[in-house]
Amino acid sequence: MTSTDGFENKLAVTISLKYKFALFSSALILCVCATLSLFLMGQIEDELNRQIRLRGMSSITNFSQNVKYSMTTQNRAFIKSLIESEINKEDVHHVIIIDQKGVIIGHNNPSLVGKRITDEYTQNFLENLNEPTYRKIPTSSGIKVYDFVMPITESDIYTTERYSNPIEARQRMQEGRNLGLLRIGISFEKMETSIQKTYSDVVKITMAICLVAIILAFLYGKVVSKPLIEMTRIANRLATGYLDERVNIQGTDEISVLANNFNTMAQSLQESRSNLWKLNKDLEFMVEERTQELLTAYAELQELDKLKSSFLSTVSHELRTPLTSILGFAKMIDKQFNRHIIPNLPEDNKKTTKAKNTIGTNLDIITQESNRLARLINDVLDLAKIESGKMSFNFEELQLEQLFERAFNNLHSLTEQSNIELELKYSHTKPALIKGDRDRILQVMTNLISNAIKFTKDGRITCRVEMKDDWIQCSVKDTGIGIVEEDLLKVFDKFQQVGDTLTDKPQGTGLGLPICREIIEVHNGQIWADSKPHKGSTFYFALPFDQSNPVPETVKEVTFKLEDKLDKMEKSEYLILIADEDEGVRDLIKVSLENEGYRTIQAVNGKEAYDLAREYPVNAIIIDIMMYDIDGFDTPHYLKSDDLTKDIPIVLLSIILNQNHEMVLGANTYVTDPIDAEKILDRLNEIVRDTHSSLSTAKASFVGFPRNNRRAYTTELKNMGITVEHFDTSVQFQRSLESDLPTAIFIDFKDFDLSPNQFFKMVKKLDRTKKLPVIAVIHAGQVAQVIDAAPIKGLCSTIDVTNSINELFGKRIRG
Amino acid sequence: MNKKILIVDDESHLRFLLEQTLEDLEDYDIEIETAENGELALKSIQEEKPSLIFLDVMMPRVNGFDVCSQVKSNEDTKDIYIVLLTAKGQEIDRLRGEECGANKYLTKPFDPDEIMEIAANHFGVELDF
Repeated sequence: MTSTDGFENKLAVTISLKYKFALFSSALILCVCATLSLFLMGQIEDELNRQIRLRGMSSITNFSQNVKYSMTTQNRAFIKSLIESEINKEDVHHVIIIDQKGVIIGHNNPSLVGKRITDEYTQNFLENLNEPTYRKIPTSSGIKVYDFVMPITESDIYTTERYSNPIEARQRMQEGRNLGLLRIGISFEKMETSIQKTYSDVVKITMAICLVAIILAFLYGKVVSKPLIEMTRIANRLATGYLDERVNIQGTDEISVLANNFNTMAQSLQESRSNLWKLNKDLEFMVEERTQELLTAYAELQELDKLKSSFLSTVSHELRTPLTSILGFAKMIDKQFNRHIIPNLPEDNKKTTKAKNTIGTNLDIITQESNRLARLINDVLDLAKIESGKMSFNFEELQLEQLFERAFNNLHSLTEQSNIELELKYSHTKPALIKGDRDRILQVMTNLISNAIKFTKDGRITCRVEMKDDWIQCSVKDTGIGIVEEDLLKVFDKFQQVGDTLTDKPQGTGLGLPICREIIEVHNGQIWADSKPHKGSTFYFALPFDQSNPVPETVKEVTFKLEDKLDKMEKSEYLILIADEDEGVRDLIKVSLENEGYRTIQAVNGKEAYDLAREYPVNAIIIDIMMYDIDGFDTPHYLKSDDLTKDIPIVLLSIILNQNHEMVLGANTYVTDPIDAEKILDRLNEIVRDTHSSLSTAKASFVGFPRNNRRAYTTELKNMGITVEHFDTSVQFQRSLESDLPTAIFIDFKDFDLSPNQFFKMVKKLDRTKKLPVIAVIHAGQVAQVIDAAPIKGLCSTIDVTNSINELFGKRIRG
Repeated sequence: MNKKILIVDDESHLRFLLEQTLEDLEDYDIEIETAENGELALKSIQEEKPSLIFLDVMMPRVNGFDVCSQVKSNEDTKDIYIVLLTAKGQEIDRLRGEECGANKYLTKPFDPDEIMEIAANHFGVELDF
């Protein structure tokens, strides 16, 4: 499994949900508070203004009631007393009375009385004001006062009630003559101060509320998003391959339900992944089985092929010997007949003459047919040799045009007797050079041309050499009888002579074209034909410039290269080296192998095994796989890297003797270092398959495994639902065996406190545990490679050992 | 030069054929001996000292290659002209023939005329065919 790469989570969380929630809530709260404060402050402001207006207007109206008569009468003393009583009010800042001419007739500052006003502000009021009004003005003392201004008109004084003459009164009122101005300055400082204080209180309270609300919003956001964040984290872990992760959320709300469903989903994901793995492994297993069957079938085929060619070789030899006699004696008869009989025959006897001629013809036929038989035998042998890969080809640089010329010369005698013109055509200027076997290519050319001659009564045979992209194409074109389309493919098959064999007597052996095809295919080329009946045929062959780059297109049959014959050595000629630290094991193997007929020598450690293998002509080495772990000498590595010993086959085994001195399998099988989840799962799967249990409920105990590498495979195993336990010491491990037994034990002896022998004896001693599958880690590089290339099965009895040795040398078990 | 030809073949028909083929040479005082296996051939070679041997390869016990290499390794007999006859027209056989020192190598079925020509050339006899 390609672990986690495929599931990398591309969408990382950039802004957390809780921040989004908090930000949104805070903004909302801020808006609400701001609106409320503004509204409140507006209300207060309005109220303040109303109060100021009320207070000011009532003051100035009252005052004007009191003062207006005095203004007409210019009773300054009275005005002064009025002003004094007014100014004595706590908040009154100034009182000013001005007549229509702009002369101050009353002022809280008596020194100013009688003076004219000069400031534009008052002047302006005097000229334009009709209604009482007020505005806020700064004063010389720095504080701001509300200056209430009220115009005094005649109509204020001359009301209808007050005049005895209503007409005069009405006239006067209509005039509404302006009598002057009243100004009263009132300071609302206290009120404003208190309002300011209220304002700042409102702002403070608002801010406090906002702050609390925002904090609450954050807290709530966190509470709400916490399970979601947790689920996101778990989902990420799942996506990156940690399928054993689960969300832990309690509760009854929607999120808890979601979490539950999420867990169920993860569970089924884990199960289906485990199933998928198992399925995959089973499939691999099946494929392996089928491959094995195929290999067996292939080996049988090879054996058959070998038999076939040896049969052919023998048969052709057996055929040639009598053929030699037939041909030889035919020739002798012919010679002696011509030399001694014919001269003595009466010339006038018709019958004798006829018989003489018949005998001559018959002898010719015997010779011809014998020669044909000899050719046939040669062709059959040639074909068998090429097919079995036994024909040797001498590759050299060839010039195809030259070869065609040579073929023409060879066939000169054939064309001389017929009406056939031979020609060679090529358009290229530089010679067409390829790598090939001169004699064989010439054989192909001769064959194709002689075929063409054979099927052409008169006409032209054109040979052509053409350069193509990566190959050279040659063709032999005739104007003969041609071949019908359905026969075109058959012409390259053995013993297929096209046409009706009853009427057209075959002239050749029927093997020429098959031989051509074989030769061309050995050259990585192609051969094919094109023809139209009665128009002629063209035979092509194409050869690559570069032998490693075959001419493309068309199907090729696989030519089985036959292996050399099995070594015919006797068993007693084999010397087998047994290397094991345990003398009992060595002796048992020695006895069984020697009973079988082999000779043996023994080594007690790896170094000795290596030395002995160099010294003696050893044919095979049986070596304890754990031995290098004990003496630290990587024997297989040294054996495989020494030219003297590198070709000696090594049989690895792990056997211990139990109390009864019987052989017991040590480790069932091995994983090679560096280990990964894949290898562990492979082994585990084999064991699970053998015991018909389920991979997803398996329990694996890891004993003595280094801590640094554990995580990598542990996660993967947990993803499959496999329970994983680690033990660092033998004591821990032994204690664990007292409770629940694991499905399989993986052991790494490298830094473990027990030797392989001690460990296996401990496990195999108890009835409970002796059947437990043990998988040992193999560290040494060379051994690891040997094992990875051909995983060894458990060899647990002397029969297994002898069988494997017999198999190695292709012998059958005796008896 | 000893005017003797030795024919070695375990097949009586072929011995007979070779004898017939070469019998014209008897007119030139050339003797023709036969042997039916390798052992007898070696014995005959020691005794008769032929100068030309037609030697079949495939024979039981001592085969033609062995006879040939023994003859060629012996100082007394190494100059004997040996023609190997074989039915096993394989490349490897031809190479083995060369290796054991044979002077010529013929594949069965051979042409009687060729045998005759070899013998005639060897003894310097001119024949009319």
